[in-house]
Amino acid sequence: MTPLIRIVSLAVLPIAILISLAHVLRAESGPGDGFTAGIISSLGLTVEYLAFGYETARRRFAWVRFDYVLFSGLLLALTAAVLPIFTGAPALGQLTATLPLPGIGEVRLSQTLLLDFGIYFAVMGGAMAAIDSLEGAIR
Amino acid sequence: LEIASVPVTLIAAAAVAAPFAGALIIGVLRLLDVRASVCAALATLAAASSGLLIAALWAEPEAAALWHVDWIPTAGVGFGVWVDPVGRAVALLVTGIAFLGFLYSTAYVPRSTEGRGTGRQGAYYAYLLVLTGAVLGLCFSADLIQFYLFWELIDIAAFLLVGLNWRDAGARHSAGVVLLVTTLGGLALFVGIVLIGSAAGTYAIPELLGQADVLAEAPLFGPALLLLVVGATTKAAQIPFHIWLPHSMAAPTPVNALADSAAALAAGLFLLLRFHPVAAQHPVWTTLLTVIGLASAIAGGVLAARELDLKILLAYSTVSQYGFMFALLGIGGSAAPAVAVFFLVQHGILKAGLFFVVGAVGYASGVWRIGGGGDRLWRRLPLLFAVAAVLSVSLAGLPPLGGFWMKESFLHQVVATSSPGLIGLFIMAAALTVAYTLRFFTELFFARAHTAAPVRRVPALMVVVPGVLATLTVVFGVLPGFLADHLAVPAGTAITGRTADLELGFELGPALFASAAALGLGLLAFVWLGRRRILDQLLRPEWSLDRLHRRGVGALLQASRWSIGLQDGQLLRYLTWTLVTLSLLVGFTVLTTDPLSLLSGTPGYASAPPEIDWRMSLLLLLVCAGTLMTLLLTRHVHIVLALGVVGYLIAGVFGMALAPSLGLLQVHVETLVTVLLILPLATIPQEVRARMFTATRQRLSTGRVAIAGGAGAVSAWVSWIAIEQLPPRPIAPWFLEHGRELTGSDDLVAAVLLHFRAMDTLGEIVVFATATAGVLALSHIIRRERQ
Repeated sequence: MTPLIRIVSLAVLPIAILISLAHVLRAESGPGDGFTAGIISSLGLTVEYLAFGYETARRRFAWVRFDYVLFSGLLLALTAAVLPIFTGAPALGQLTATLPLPGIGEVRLSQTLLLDFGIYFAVMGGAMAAIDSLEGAIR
Repeated sequence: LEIASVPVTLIAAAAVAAPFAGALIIGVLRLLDVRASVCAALATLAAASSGLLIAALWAEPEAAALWHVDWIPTAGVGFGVWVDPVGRAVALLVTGIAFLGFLYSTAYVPRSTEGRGTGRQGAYYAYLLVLTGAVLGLCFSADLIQFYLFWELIDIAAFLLVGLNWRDAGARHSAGVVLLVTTLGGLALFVGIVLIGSAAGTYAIPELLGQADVLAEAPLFGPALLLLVVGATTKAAQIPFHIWLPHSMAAPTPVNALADSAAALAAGLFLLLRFHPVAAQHPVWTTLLTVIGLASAIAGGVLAARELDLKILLAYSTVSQYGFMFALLGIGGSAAPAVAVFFLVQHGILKAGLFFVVGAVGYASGVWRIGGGGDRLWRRLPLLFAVAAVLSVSLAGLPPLGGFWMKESFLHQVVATSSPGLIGLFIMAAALTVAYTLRFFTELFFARAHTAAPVRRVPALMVVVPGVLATLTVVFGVLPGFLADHLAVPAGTAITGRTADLELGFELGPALFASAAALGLGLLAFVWLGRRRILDQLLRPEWSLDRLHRRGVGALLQASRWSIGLQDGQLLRYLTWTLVTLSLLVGFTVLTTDPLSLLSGTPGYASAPPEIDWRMSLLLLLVCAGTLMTLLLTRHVHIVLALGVVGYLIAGVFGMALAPSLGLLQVHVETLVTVLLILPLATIPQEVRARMFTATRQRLSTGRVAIAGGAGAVSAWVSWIAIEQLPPRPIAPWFLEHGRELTGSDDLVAAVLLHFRAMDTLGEIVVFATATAGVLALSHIIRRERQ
């Protein structure tokens, strides 16, 4: 791959991550959700893989265990599902809190954000773990 | 200390919790690598405190107490503690023997080869505590579902204990048999419980027992009782499910003393006692219990009379004795439950004592089998000999010991209610008891051998514990009324509602005559069987049910291997199966049902289909063209790219149909999928890919093309129906109207995904994670095979 693509890919990853985070945080006020966000971030990572090759990219992300990301996402989503029970609401029911943030205004937080983050991690971790392990198996 | 002021249910709950707490603490201690003796002390303490708490239940004049809360109210399932004289009696027996068992274990397990220094002593104590706690939980359960959970917990604990020495293949096999047989019974019990619970409209046991009339009318009451009896029969190791009990002898001896004479088997009898108030009159109940009990009493006796392994001999003896109790409940009579409880406690005491003796003798001399090389052990182990003599004579049924009264009160019931033929059979079973007990005792202590291993010194505890039980069988032989008044009669009264009379007195009557006859016949049989090995010639190995069980399991494994063999790694074949199944199932459903009826039950999800203008038409035409290209192209990479193009075009269609979220997602997913497909392709050399392609093409027969075409046609058809048949009540307007106010979400897609259909979303990511786990496992296998 050309150096140009490598430089572009280095820029793409943080942008992809930022966009995906925006997707999750704004899931309830516009198009996009945790699933889309997970796909976007894994696309950003995939560009890195394509630009630098599997070995190099894998070394760079050696500190991330994508299978752990997958299952912690699943755990997060299940937690979000169970959490409302403790307030007497049904499972997956709604749990909201309004948080006043200085300078920004009031932010409405809901446990569905946790669910969405769970989906985000699960999708991202799953896609990347699959790519990793397939690559590892083929090589 | 004012015990009476504490609610009875709380005391019982604490008694159930104590063993579990002990097991938990031992689990933590094991992580800290604490010495096994600490675990042993802790386990003994837990059992002792549990036993004291249960004994404290007698301080309360009110015998019954109930605490009950809703657990799953929509299903009528609750959770609670119910203290009644029946549960109290069984619980006292179990904790008493558990306490003695742990005391014995502290001396036995570290020394014996059965503990085998597997480094698993901590696990041993923890599992045994769980088993004790599970039986106690069973005794005080106020709800049937809770009852079932504790029931299965017993199976699991027993499985773990039998498989304690898991490095030994024999122990693993035995543990498997135990688990398979007992959980099969557990499943039967579960179905029976659900049938009874739904017929009565409640799972709360005290309430349910008050509905005998309603249940008797219920159409499925008979089958439900059959299932309950199957459950009890497996747990109490009765014919034909007795095969697991000899296997459980792979566990260390104290486990046999506790679980296989008192705890686990008592759970089976306890189930019968629990349901006796509603079931006692039902013909299924009376017939089955009488037949099973009688068969077990006689077959268990015969098997014990020819068995060489001492522990297994005692196991068969237990099968036989529980057979007496089963038959007793089947024959019925107003005093039957009281006598069964009396029998249970007396038998638990002396059988646990005998197991402890066998363990101690085995430890001291290495003799575990008849003819195992002991030389006149009565001289070398005089104390154990004395203890064993008392216990054996008691089991044989000689006065004035506990075993005499248990048989005497049993025969009283039988003589009063049964036909002469039945009485004769029971006398025969009792005679067999006398015969095998004499054989057990004489072969263990009077056998001679020229080359006998030296006898080791037995630790005091290992003599004291069976000694205590021997003393108890003497005490309850001299004062049988004590046991009857405090345990058996209250329990029997609670079950039948009438005060039971156990008739514990020497009076010259038919029962005493039957006892004497059994003794005499037993002596004759002992002499006769000892002289010739008649039973060995009579019983063929191919009649063994154990063999049948092995065959059955073998057939299951064979079937499983066959079904695995279907998955031969040929993707084309998998695809064929999947598509054929899909086409047939979906095609059949669509053909035989009115499509509108499929939609009208639930509100539909589609609103009117979007307008199809020229731009949309063009896009759809391009989609068709792209799809066709995937068929015509001859290079894998090109096909993948064509698929990608089709995906992007469909994203465009979504965008035009005013579904931007869906379009956005489609673009991302399509990109990722294309990359995922290209990545592995890129690692295969071009020539290889070309060869693969032609090979696949050549295997495309007309049949396969027809199958693919059929699947396509069916899915097109279904899509057409979905578009054509507008749902009568579209759901979209409702979402649009209420979505924001109900969820607080500005985005309707998010509202649906994260709120209205949140359960679906959760399910989807679970499926996704599972599929990914499959990919990870597969590539792990590939990588391992490479290396």
